[in-house]
Amino acid sequence: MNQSLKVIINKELKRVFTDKRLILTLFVLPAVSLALIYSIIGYIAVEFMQDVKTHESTYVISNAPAAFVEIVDQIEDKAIRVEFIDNAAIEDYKTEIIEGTLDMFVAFDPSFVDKVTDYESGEMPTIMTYYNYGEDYSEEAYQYFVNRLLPVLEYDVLSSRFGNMDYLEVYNLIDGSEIEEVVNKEKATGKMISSILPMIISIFLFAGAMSVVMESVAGEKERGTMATLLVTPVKREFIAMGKMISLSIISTLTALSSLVGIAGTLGLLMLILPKDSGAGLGSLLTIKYTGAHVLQLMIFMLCLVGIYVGVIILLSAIAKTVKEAGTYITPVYMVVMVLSFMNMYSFNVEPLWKYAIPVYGQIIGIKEIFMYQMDWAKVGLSTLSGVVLIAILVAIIAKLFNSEKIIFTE
Amino acid sequence: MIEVKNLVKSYKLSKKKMQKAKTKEKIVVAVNGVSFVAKPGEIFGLLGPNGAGKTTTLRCVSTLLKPTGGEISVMGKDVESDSEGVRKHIAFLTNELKLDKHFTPDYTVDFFARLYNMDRESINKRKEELFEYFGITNYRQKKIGELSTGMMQKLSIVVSLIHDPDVVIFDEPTNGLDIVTAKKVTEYLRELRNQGKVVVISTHIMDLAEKLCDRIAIMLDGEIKIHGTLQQILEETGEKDLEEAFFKVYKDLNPEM
Repeated sequence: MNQSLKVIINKELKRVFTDKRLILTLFVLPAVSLALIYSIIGYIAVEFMQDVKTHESTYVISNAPAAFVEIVDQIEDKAIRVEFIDNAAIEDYKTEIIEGTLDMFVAFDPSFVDKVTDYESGEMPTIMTYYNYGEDYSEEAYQYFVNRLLPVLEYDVLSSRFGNMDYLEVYNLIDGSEIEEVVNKEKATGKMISSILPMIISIFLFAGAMSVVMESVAGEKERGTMATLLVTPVKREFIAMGKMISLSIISTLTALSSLVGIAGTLGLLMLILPKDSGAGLGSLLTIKYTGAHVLQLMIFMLCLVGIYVGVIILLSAIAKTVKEAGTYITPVYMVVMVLSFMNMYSFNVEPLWKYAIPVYGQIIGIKEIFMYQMDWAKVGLSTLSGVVLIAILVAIIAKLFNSEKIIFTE
Repeated sequence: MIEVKNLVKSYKLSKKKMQKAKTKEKIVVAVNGVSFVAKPGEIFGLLGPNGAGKTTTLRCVSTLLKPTGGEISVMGKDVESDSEGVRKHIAFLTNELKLDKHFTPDYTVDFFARLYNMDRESINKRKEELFEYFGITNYRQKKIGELSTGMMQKLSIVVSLIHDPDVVIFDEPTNGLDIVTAKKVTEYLRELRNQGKVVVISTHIMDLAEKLCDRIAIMLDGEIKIHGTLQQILEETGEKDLEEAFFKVYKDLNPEM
């Protein structure tokens, strides 16, 4: 490696790794804060969902038929409190529902049983429901009533109407996927993380690069230290490449710190959440990737970080201050976010040419690695496009570093 | 040796800059037809008020600005076609060039020396020599951010001279320095001259130019109006000292003054 290039890379790395404040903010805080924040959010969300599920739903039910009263009496899977009243009116319970002291009011048709019995007359009985869908407890009470209690009543009515419930069965639906092994189990397992991780990796890489590069390029310009470097006989290409390489290393480590934070979140949630909480985190432990997958992932990440760092260096070099650089880079960040989100819900195999699109190609590449459908042709094409773009960016940055407008801010 | 022939440097102004400068001209000529030669073993001074074009001229000589017209060669190398070659031979120092406050003087000097491809032995020898001369030895392991302004400026001088350049270009060398440091710097410039280096400075301080420079060029409005030794300038203007000579030239151009 060229001596000047090595010296510049060493200096950039030393700048970060000998500054306790930078080490803390770039590598420690992202991991710790993400792990803590997401764990707390996850814990609160699961706790909240469980609280709603375990809450004792309160109902006032008017003119309930005897069969329904019996059904309610036999309920064991949920704590509910029901008050059965004849000819009650909603007007008397409105305030209680709004205030949340009552979850739901139900009014059965006073002639419910007669109309059900005389069903051939065509006159259907009504069941009026009243609940406050702005309240989670009330919403849960409604869902339980409609999806758990009423189907039992309906089953009873239909059984007595037709004599045998089997008459209502029209066909047997059998899922033979497992028996005949037509399921791509690896892909199915990887789907969960492939929808989220490529997006997270791409965004974290950009965010990590943004904080470091702006400071290293626009910050150096602003403080006048860039001009001191440009007075030396070092080739501009080496300055550009030195910055690119060192800042890519730092940005990758910053992004990895964030990813460690996310992994820490999963670990913490598995520790603190009850095992039956249904968060489904345990399935992630069954995922197994090979060394080739890791290598492919590293290649894509390096391409992405190289492109991101290059673009940010370029914009930071044009800007006179870190603040100005921020205004140029924010729209690019938005574009990266859109490109990253675009892939979240597409699980089909993408055509080969799409891998030649820089950034987009690398993001779908990462996605396909997680779904076990990546091959080396795609990796090669995507890497080639990434390397070509990075080379173009280096050439433009080197040219910019020769420009007098870039050397002096005034 | 530095040879500047008919140097022209003009800038295109943005609308914002036109408004700031309160002008309708889209092009501003900062330097117009400047020619001079600075030889080894002499201190050549560009003397003039702010905005005269001194700094622009020195930046062009130092390859940081591209001349719009004319030719500049430094130690026989053309500033445009061999800018890297020129930069190997020069030390350029201006107030605008700063050092990263996070690093120590020791590391900073090493860093720049290695960019000039110096070997470890030469770096250490030269560094000790310069640190000793400028009184930095006891502060070499402190962070630059913790140094006084004067010490930082002395360190900037050390950084610019670490590769023992043939040509030393200092833009306003004593600007912002306390009198002790300023004296140290001017003495060192004399020492460099005695070593046979080409030394070029820009200044607006008459006294400094008079005492330090072997030859002086008075710049006004982007042009050299008069140049020569102090004696030649005084004879040509018929004045007793450099200040009087400067104002005579200035009044000739600005009769309303």
